[in-house]
Amino acid sequence: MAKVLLQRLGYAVLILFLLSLFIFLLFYVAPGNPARLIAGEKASAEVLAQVTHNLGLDRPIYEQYWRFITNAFQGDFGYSYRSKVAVWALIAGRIPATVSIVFGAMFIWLGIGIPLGILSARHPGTWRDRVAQIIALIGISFPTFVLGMTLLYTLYFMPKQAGFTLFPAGGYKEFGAGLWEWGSHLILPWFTLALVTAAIYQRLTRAQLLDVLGEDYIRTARAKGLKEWKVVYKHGMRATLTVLTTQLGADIGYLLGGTIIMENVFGIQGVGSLAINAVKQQDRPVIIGVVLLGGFFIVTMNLIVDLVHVGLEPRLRAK
Amino acid sequence: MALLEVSDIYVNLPTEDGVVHAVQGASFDVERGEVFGIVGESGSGKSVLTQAMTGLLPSAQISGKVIFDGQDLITAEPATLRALRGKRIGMVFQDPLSSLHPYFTIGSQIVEVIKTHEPKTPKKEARERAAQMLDMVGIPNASKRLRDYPHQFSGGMRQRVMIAMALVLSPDFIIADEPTTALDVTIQKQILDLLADMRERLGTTVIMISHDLSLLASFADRAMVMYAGHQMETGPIASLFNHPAHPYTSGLLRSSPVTEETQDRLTPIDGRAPSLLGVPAGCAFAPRCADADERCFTSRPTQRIFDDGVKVNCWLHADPTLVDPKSEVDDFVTNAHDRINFHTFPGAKDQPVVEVKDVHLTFRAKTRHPVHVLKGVSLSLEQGDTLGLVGESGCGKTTLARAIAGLIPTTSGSIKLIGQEVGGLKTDEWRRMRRNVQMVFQDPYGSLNPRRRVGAIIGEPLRIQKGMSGEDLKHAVRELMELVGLDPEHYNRFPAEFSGGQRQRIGIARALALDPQLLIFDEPVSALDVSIQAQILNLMKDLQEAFGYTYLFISHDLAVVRHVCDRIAVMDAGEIVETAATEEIFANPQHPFTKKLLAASVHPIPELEEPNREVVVETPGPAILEDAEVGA
Amino acid sequence: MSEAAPTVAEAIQAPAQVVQRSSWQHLWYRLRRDKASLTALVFIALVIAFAVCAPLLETVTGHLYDAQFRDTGLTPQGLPVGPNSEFLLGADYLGRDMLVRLAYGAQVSLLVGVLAALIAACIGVTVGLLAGYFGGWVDAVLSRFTDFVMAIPFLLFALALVSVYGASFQMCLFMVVFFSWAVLGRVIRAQVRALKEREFVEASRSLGASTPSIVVKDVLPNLTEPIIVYTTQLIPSAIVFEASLSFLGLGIVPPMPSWGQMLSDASQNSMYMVAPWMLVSTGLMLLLTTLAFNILGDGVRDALDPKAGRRLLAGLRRKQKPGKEAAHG
Repeated sequence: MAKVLLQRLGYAVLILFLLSLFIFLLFYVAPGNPARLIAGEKASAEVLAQVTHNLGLDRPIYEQYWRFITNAFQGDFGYSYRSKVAVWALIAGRIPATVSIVFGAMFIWLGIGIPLGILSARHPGTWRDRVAQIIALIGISFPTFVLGMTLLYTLYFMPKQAGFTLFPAGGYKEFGAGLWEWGSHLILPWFTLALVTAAIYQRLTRAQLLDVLGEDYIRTARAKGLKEWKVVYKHGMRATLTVLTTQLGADIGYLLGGTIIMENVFGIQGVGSLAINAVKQQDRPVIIGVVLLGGFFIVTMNLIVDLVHVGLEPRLRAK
Repeated sequence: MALLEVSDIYVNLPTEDGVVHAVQGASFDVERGEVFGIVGESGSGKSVLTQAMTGLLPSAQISGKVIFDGQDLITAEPATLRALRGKRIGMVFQDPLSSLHPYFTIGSQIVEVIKTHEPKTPKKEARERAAQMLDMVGIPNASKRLRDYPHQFSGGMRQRVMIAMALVLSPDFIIADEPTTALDVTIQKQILDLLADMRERLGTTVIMISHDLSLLASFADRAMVMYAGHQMETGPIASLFNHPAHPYTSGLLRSSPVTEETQDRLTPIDGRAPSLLGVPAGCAFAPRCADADERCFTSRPTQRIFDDGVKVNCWLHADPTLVDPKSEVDDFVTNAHDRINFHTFPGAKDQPVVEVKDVHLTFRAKTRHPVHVLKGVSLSLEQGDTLGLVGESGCGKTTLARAIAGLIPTTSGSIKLIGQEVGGLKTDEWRRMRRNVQMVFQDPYGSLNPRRRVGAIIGEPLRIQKGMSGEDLKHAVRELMELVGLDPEHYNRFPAEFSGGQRQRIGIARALALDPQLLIFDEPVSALDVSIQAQILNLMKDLQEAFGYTYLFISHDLAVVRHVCDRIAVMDAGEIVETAATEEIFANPQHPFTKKLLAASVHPIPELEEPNREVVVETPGPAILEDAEVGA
Repeated sequence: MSEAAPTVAEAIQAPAQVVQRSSWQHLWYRLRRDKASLTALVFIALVIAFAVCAPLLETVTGHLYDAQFRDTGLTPQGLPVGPNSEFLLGADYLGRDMLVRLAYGAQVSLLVGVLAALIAACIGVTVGLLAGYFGGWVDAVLSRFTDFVMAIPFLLFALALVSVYGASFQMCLFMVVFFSWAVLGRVIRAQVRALKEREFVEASRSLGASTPSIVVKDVLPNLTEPIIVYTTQLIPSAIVFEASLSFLGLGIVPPMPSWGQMLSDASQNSMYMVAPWMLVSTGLMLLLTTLAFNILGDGVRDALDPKAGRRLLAGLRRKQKPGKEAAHG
């Protein structure tokens, strides 16, 4: 078991390494000289050369990569070309907003998606199942930005025109500003993200639970005389946890890398909007930093999911 | 009063394709303390019947009465049924691995039964009772093993756990649904003994469901024979075996390799089981019955009860006719065919067809310890031999077959086919060698590509090896289909359109296409129903007699091999422990493992004198119910 | 040990006179009876017609898709006009006809959706087939590559790519394909590994069939169903993916209109607050199109589910692979 986990850890490192190499080469072969961007259009040849030298861009590629990767290991992703601030500091400043969106939404989507999925699976083919399935279908079909704009229009703008305020328009208030301030600004983003994601969990839970409820051991549970809720919630749901945690890990890992669209629609200064701005300004160190951070979250969440599975599955524990 | 009185029960299962008429008017009583067997082939409705009456099939539509200890289970509330299940009715299912929850320890699964029905039991006491019960069913170190998960037990031990779980509250009766089918023969015997022992000690009534009549011979007191949802014959087990009153019972006995105790041909039941979507106007068995007359097809048979307690649903008043087994290979086909030259296999007379010497095979998986599957196996087959290779699951018999067929490489040792060492053959040479060795696989569903037409499947070897195509190929394939008893007109059908037995015939036709000298059969009949098994075994025998093929027949079942093979090799844990002539093995087994295997696969049949029985009552049989009347 | 294992399922499939249909026949046979899928199919046909008629709409209205009607399309305050007899769906912030743009946007969405799904399916099937059938180092390399693609935060990476190479139709298509094939690749790999162990593959080997022949004749035909199902499901997620990219300004480049870009226009300076038709028509169109494809995808999956035919009406079982269903975030 420890061996398997070590192997997974090895893969994770390998994947991050590949990702860094990939993104590094991407920028290396890219047209356009970043030194020109920093020095400005009118800079003289000497200044340009000096800037190029300072950035280390005149050295061979392997040396540049080596310097980049060793620095990255020490948490140093370089400095923004534009603001000259350290990349990690820029990112660190944006993480609370993104984390707030993701984990807040997570509780909502789990709270909506899984119960709806169970409802569907317990009564397959009935009107309750059909209603839940239609809701989920609409949910997975709704592009996040369309839903976000719709919610903003109906729950912010229309009440405002009618003369009262239901929710603030957007933006992000730090947790330090007070729980209410923080939460009320996040309610619309939370629900936007959660409704779209809950649909996936409804479908996943339904499919998995339906499958499990057809298993022989569920028949055994019924043959033992267990009450139906115990059959479903204890024996049935226990077996769906592996798949649900896999999906949850993948979603959280992916979203922590930046809820780009949410931040765009609601004007929240998170990691995603940092990335968008960096692209607009051709700020390469920031882009590289954000992409690597995103990869790091995905890979780390995968590892955590592996660990959780060891706890969940007696077979894995034994090996 | 009987513990369980079932009268006129009908079970319909609505599916997308239509209503499946799973049970059509069965009636029987189970007395307190007896073992009652329900026997039937797949699709007979035996499992559906017991699951429906205990409320485990919520979608089923049920009519009739099931009186358990004065209470009707059919009209009972779900809560009432729930209180009975586990407490007064225990259940054991076929596959113990999938029937135990993989994520809970066996201790907690057994304790759960106690806590559900006796919620006031302290946890500690419940665990002690669970441990006692495990100890009773023969699990060593019971109190320690409470903390283990199902996957940490072997198949037989798991079934013991299931039995412990079913018995922990000392229910009035348990329903054992094919409890030994998924287990090895020797383990089967242990589980049967355990059930018998438990019944003795706890006085539990047992309903035992099985596809194998012979299994019940020494175990059940009475049994009911079912076919396609219909009750055929019910009575004391000795009467069923010695004087079957129903042609189907008689047919089952004569086609079972276990009950026919000689090397002679078996007598299969012709034809195949009907679809359950329709309801026959007459007797369900009529289309396959040798004695059927017009009445059998047009109206439901009456039920006669004899003075020895046998109940039979049949129009015939005489004993069933004993038909002679027909030849599976048509004379016309054998003679008209240019296959008459088969005996002149190239250079075959002077050397063995197969010679295996000291073959070892070791699997080395990356993370695990190396597994020694074959530990020095030697055997040889002469032209025209039929050798049965018998052993339990995991003994290496299939691996050996695949090694001989060149599908997996060996670790060391030598395999010679027709005098040629196969270890050093190049891909090309192997392709040519394959003309001499062909395999027939176990699973008639898995061994045919579901996406190809039968003609293409059977013609594939001819296309690959002989470059045949067009009309030539079509002609050859049709001939092969005729040879194995398939309708050549079905050339363009897909495998799914055939029954299990027919699919196995397709597999045999494909293997015969190249006229191979050696045919390897890997458990060719173990996935088939008894009445169909016999058809395939006879076909194998007839083909061999007609064309002189050399057979290597792999099976877990000594009784099956007996009817086809001249010699038997017994395999255990990667080694051949004994090889001898078939009757020699049965009469005078040498190796302890052979003895064990033999003891486990033979079920003594209770003797009974010729009765002078008389009909006591004759009543109309169960009525035909419209779909809407069932479960209304 | 596998004696006959009689179960409820087996009781039901007891040999009836069955006639096997091909996957496509089977699919059509079942879809025909599924009202939701039929409605979705009709809607998709209408969207296709709408997209095809885009130039016609241009002629009829006399509004070129990128023509700015500053006199008639904008109010004196410079705000877009709402739906009226000239602009059936209103105008956008530059005074362009929403209806005409919507029709051209449909072309882009459908083109990217279907094309990307097909290309991604080809890649996924090829990778899955190679990795699954050959195993060993081929599998190791391809599987690690699949893992790698799945570990890339795709929107972020798309940002990086666009920052270097600029947005374009081809770039957009490439990104959608690149991040869509991996799930299918994994599914196919798993299926192939299972198929490879089936006895009919072993049987073909024992007849002396060559590897290409086994792959093409034995393995591939048995993958038709997952391929149809997953390709159908890839289309809506590709459409949403393209719309998301265009919404962020990373996808389709103006003046070529696309729905995501039109929604981006609507969200610029919260324009949709004063001109809600910019959000409603495009958003609804996008939503209904993906919804229709998703309904169709579900219908196809249910129709081809091998267990479906023998299923008891209640207590049914169904397998569905976990996976991201739409690009979100």
